[in-house]
Parts: sequence; structure tokens; C-alpha cells
Amino acid sequence: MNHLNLRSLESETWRANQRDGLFDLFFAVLFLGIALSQVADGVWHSEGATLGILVGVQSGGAAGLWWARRRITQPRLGVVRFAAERVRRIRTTRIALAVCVAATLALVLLTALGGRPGNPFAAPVSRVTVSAVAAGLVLIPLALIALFMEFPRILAHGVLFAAAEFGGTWLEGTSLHFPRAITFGVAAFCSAVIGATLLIRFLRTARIRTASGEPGSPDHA
Amino acid sequence: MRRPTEPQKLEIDRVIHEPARLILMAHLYVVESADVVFLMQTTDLTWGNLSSHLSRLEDAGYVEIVKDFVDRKPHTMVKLTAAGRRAFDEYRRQMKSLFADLPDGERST
Repeated sequence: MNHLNLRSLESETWRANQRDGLFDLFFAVLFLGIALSQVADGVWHSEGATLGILVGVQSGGAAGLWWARRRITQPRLGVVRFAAERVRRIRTTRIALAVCVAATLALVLLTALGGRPGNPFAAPVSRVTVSAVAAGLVLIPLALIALFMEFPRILAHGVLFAAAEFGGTWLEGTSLHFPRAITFGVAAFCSAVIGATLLIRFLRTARIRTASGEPGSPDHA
Repeated sequence: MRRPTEPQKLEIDRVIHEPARLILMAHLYVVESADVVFLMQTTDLTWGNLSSHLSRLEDAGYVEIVKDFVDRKPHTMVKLTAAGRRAFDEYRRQMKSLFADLPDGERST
């Protein structure tokens, strides 16, 4: 017999609401956007193209995941309106995630400008310092979110970002083309595997429950 | 005036004390509101069973059921009323008090 108390019941309810894996796929989309923008930067050497691909991939991916949440997973999860304390935490999480996304945008921009002759970011700051700052700007908020929101999986994605960032900087000294695209591509793959595994398991176990009396039957309004 | 020989009656809220309704009340207590799909997923009750228990709780004034439409689909949200929260708090207090003074393993002889 399990021994649940009311506090753990609330935490379990919150975690159950995230079990569809879409949040993990969101990180895969973020990393994929960075990877593709690095390829664009290497091919076209254009800040506009770099940012355009980054924003396009991340926005498109986020829109697709939002649609999947509304149409595919939410009918199986149901709708929960959490109490005030959890709502405050969610709001703080959104702010922290916005900081993360802004940090990735800044990272891509700095990376794109870093290779341009005469730019103000090239000489005074080393690439390792930039990598450390970028990794910190993302990893620290994500670690706090993982703790604050009782959502440890987020920490895994933060670590993947930091590893991709430092790995890309380290590989820049080698003969590999598009080192950051490779490292962030690997990070995107890892996050996608986590998210896809959770999503498949969720879809197999969570039936659509409707008010028509039979699980999985069409809902007749 | 209660005679010394009369046994003390244990008054438990039988509306809440039923296992399925207790689980429903517990889940509704920790959130603001939830829809019936979530409640069915959580409790694994069929719609018929869930509807029956929610009706009982609604008749007792413990839950409020709001029917709404979202994306042209019927949507039923359930939340505890203030009376329901008070009743659940009282039930918790009663259960806690009931088992409070009994050490583990002690039996009456």
C-alpha cells in the first residue's frame, strides 16, 4: 500500500500533468534551433539568416507542441487548475524559461558576431568565458526550476545544454566543420529521445476518458 | 446528560468516509478545480461511478460542478466548496484524533 499525504498528492498531481513528455520535446526543439542556426551561420555568414532560422525553428516547434498538447495529450490528461502557490511557481518558471530562451538568443548572436573582423566582442572576451557565462545563464535557472517546481528532468536538459556549449567551444579547435551544430544536434537528439519515450509511453497507457460512459468512445456532446 | 455507562459515539462524516469519495475529496482539496477527465484518470472510476459520487457530494454541498464549453466540447469542472473544505478539514481532524493516542502494536486485552 502506498502512503500518500496531501502535500505529496499535490506534487504527484503536478508531475502527472507533465508526464506526456512534451516539455522535454520543447528542449529538443530549442537545441535543434541552435544547431541549425549554427549551420546557417557557417554557410551564409549572415546574422539575419542565423537569427531567422533560430527563431523560426523554435517558434514553429513550440507552436507544434502547443497544438499537440491541446489536441492529443490534454484530452487524455484532463484539465487541472492548481492552487495559488503552484500558480505562483508556474509564473516564476515561465520567467526563468524566458531568461533561458533570451540567453540562447544572445549566445547565438555572440557566436555569430564572434567570427566577424572588427567586432567589439572578438578580442577582449575569450570563447571559454562566453561559453561559461552562457552555460551558467541557462543551467542555473533550470536547476532552480528543477528544485522549485519538483521537476528534476529539467536539470537533465540544463546539463545537456552546458555540455553542448562547452563541447562546441572545445571542438572549435579541431578540424570539424560546424562543431556547435554537432554538439547541439546531439543534445537535441538526447532530449528528443527522452521526450519521445515519455510521449509514447503516455499515449499507450492513458486512454481518452469521456463522459459518454465507455473509455475511448467518441464524445457525444 | 450522558450517563456514565453510555458508550461514546464516534461520529464520522459518512459522505466523505466512503473510499472513492475520500480520494475524490483529497484530490480536489489540493487543487483549485479539476475536470471529470482528470478525476476519472486519477481515480480510475467509470463515468457512471464518478457521476454518482459527485452527485452525492454535490447534494451534501461539498462540491460545485460547473458545466462549460471549451472548443465547442462539453467541459465539466469540479471544485470543493467552502463547506466542503471545512468538512474535509474536520474529517482529517477526526481521523487524526482517532489514531493519535494509539501506539504502534498496542492491543486491548
